[in-house]
Amino acid sequence: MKLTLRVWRQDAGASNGKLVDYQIDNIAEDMSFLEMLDQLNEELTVAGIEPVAFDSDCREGICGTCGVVINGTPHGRGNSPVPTTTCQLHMRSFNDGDTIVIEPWKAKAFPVIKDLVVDRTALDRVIASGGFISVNTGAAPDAHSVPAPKLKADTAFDNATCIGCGACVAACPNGSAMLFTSAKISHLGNLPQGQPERYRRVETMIGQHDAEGFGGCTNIGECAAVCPKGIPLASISQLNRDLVSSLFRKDGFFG
Amino acid sequence: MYDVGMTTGDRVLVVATQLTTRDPSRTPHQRAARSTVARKVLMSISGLIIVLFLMMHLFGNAKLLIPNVGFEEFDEYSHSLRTFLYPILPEKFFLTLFRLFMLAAAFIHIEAAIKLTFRNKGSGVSGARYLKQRYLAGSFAARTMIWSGIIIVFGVIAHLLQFTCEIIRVSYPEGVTTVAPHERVVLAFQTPVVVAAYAVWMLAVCIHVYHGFYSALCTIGARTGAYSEKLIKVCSVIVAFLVFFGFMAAPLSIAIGLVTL
Amino acid sequence: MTETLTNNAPAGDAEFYSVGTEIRDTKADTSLPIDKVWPDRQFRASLVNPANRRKITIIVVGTGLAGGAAAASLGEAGYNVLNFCYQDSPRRAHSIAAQGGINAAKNYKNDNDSVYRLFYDTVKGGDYRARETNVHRLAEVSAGIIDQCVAQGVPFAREYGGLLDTRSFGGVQVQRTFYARGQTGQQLLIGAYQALERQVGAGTVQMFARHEMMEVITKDGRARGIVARDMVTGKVEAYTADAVILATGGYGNVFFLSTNAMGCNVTATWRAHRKGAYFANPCFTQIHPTCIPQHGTNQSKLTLMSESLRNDGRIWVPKKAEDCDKDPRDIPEEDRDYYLERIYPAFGNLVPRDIASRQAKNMCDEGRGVGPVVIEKDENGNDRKVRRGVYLDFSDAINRLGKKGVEAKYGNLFDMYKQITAEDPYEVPMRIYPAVHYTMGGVWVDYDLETTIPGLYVAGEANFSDHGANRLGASALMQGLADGYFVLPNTINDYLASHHDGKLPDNDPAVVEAVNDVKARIEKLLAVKGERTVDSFHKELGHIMWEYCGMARTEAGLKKAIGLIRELKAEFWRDVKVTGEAEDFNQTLERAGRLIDFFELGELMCIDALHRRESCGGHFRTEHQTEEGEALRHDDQFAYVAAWEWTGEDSKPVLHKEPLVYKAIELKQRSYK
Repeated sequence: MKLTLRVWRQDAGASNGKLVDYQIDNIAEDMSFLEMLDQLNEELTVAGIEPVAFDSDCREGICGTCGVVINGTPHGRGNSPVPTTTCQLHMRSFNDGDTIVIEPWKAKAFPVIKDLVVDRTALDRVIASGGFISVNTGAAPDAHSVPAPKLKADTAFDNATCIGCGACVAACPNGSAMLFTSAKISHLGNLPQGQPERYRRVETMIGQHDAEGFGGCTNIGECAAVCPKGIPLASISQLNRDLVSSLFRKDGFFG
Repeated sequence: MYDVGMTTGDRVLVVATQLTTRDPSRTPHQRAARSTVARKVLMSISGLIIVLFLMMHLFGNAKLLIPNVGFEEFDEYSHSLRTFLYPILPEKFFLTLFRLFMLAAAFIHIEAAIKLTFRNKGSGVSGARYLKQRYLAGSFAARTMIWSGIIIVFGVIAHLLQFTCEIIRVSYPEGVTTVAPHERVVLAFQTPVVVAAYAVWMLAVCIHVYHGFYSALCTIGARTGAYSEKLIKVCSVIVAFLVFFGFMAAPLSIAIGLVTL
Repeated sequence: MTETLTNNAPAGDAEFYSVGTEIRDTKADTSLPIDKVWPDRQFRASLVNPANRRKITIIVVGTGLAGGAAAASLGEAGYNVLNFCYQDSPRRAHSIAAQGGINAAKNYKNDNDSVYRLFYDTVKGGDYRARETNVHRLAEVSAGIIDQCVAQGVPFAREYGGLLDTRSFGGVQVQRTFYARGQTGQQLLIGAYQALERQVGAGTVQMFARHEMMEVITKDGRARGIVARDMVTGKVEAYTADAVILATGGYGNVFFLSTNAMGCNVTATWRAHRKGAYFANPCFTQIHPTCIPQHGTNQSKLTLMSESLRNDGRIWVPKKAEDCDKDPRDIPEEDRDYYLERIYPAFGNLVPRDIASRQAKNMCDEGRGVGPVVIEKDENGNDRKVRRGVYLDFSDAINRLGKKGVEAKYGNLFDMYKQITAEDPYEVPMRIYPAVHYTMGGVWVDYDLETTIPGLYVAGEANFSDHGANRLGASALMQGLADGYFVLPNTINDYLASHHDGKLPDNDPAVVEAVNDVKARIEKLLAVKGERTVDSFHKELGHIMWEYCGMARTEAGLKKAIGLIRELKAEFWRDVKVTGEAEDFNQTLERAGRLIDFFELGELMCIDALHRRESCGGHFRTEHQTEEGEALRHDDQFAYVAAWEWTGEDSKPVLHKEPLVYKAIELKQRSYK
């Protein structure tokens, strides 16, 4: 397979970059998208050009490290028949002679570090603001002391599958991280262990979400369409319900 | 924006070391009350109130189409708006309250729209975001809410000037400054340009309501799962169509001559 | 450590290593009954007053289950923690990729499980090459891990009544494995990550993401900090502390192709090794039998599929080599060789991981492998075309359970397979092949998880302690969390109580020297300016390791491999091309820096494999097998941990033996016939 790649190149510390064209040949259709980039980088290195910087780690779709915008959709969802991460997108989704445009996640809260690598630590700070259950090591009661209703536990699980890749932010025309934030709210808010801090949690996380410079949600739905893990839009409604409810409580408690 | 240990130039290098927000003097509760989500909820509620008003207005307009007695019914409806709850309360008392209420809803809605739009535009990156952009799910309506909204605002102003204040007078007889409500309508929509402008306006309303009704219900938390999402989508399509065809029914009937003075 | 007799390497090995004094763990009181050892150690350990803890700084490198749990727990305890990871977020550590589950001796299923049984299974599964005190403690704390994780909001699988579900896993007969769909590792890691971020928010843990540890700082023989490279700016910086914990995972990427993440590396532990920490049992690597095979030479990593597939799938290859490129559905039943069922009639397709892996390799070496042809170097360095894959066939299971039944059990795995290979396993048999998965070896630690460098602790897969020569399924997650949540917070205080001198000044000679060493190493890499790419060297090293130090090892092969690695390393320093700048975001430089440590590790792995003239667990020496082709242990000679001491780049490593004494369990030979 022979392809033209139009890759975003941006120097470390630079405020802007540009698309640069590269030709690449001998791409097998069973290669993953990132293996195709590996091959590009090998060829660039031999040619004395600095390789394209991109993030990846587990390459099995679970760690959330990789992620680029491919032909206008995060993780190349527009080219893939199923929800996918970039590492699980395979070259068989493309045709010989295609031109593929590769850009980094772009959002105010995700500054570009270099080429296709962006800084997503804003998501960590949203979690650090309240996306947890406060239990010190060793202080836990027996695992069976509080049964969790199965249906609620399943909803919690569906939301806990979020890998924090940031595709939702990259896809959202508003640059909102509401799908990410709501996944954590719905994960912990549907478990009995998450109840004591439920309303305080939503308040602190939304405060941090906004302070990081993420946009607001206007229910466009682009986020859920590209989410590799299928986090549903319903999670955002759960967040909204919890937030409204929290406003009529005193810091997460009645009183 | 946030405090961090070290920076090079303006870029954050050491990460997630400390948590601060734009205004650390506020409590989490205060920040939540000022958040984009809280504002969106206000916007949703005000938007739904406006949709309810539209439905009521639609019902009133439909009276024009009643054969034979339509004009009298319409004028009576128009008149009773002014005298509703009279003589228990002073004349126009309810109307004034109602107008203030609608004005407040519109104000809240527009103010939130402006603030959120500016904020959201700033949350992407300046200029063109992706050099190649493709949308998978987001409808045209959803991405253009602010533009349909602007058209609606201008339309409302023109509408009030024309039908309520009678400052814009279309095809009024020479020297006449006020006519019966039904005459205002019929005279106006016998002019094709007015019908066309009205149609553009209603299209904007239709598009705005199509996404707005859905989004408002989602924002106040009605979307609880895949099924309720579908239901809300269906309802928003119905409401949007109702708005467009309902409000276009009378003007079109007048324009093609089904209803004449 | 007790130092006893000194002896020399056996004849023929002297050119590769020498033998030093024996070492022993001195922290556990082995005179006590085994279930009293841990409570006794907890009681005897010196304590640090809570008010003093905030004056003590601990560095934790790694944010996986062990590192993240340790950093969070020590932060909660009140210490001042600096936590480092090379990933962009602590949530991305490779613990996240574990699928199957986590063991715990809860006995919720009322099926004879107990702490002792978990201990017994783990020691036996490890082929009697693990230290029994450590393993027993692991079993003791296992139940608390489940409590902790549930309280954190880890969504384990539940029954309709709301209680936790468990299943059996990996060759044990009790149902003690807790799981969260096929992504237990992810859920446990997110739990630890949330606990960690809570401490970051509380200010007790300072997080340094995108920082790669490059060196340990030692002063007066004690660990006092690390040198890390900021991967964004390329700046090399020193961070000093009172104690250092390494939880940096395994070294499977020495094989280039493994199920590890792209970034997994040995640098942190290898640098500790070079500074004086002994490296134990490096040759013990686990090969997982059910991975998706290579598609070609550009493959960057291998993907594992849960071993549970072997419960219903049947493994076969064609009887005739000429059938190998046929559509498997066209090969009649009588031309198929269900080799595991043929050789091991009792266990059939459910033989342990190492046996299933080795037989798959044998079939492919015989020329009966299936799938795409890949080009390999043979023993004479010539190109050789082989097919690396065997069939895992579900057609019988689909006939028996129906497509729906199979889908309910394995649907997500089938989907994953289809996404990667574009073949539908409901229609065509899956192709599988073994891949490197886990490394049991690692830095030698005592009962407190302290290395031979005082003040340096190693936790999780990075240490050697709990799995012996082979790890059981669902035990890696248990060990990582046990070390992080329950062991380190109860042992590291014993050291800190008497060693808390505070941070070293930046201009301390020990700090300056360590920083300069790292800078010199980076400059040296950039100065080569050769022609070959870093990955081409790494792939070649991987080929050598896989061929000679993989599933089956021979004396001649290992000796040859040592020579090949040395040659390759020399060529690397002559001809590698590292692009970019030192002080920049430079991924080529990162990979090159990791590779130089893999060369040295690879050599030590071969030496360790050479010296261990027996077969046990993941280490199979073809000279040492029973008549039936089974692993043959020599407990009389090799019932010890091989802890290797670094003596310099051009001198031989020194072997220190830690004898393994089993008091609570009887040594037995495994049999799966």
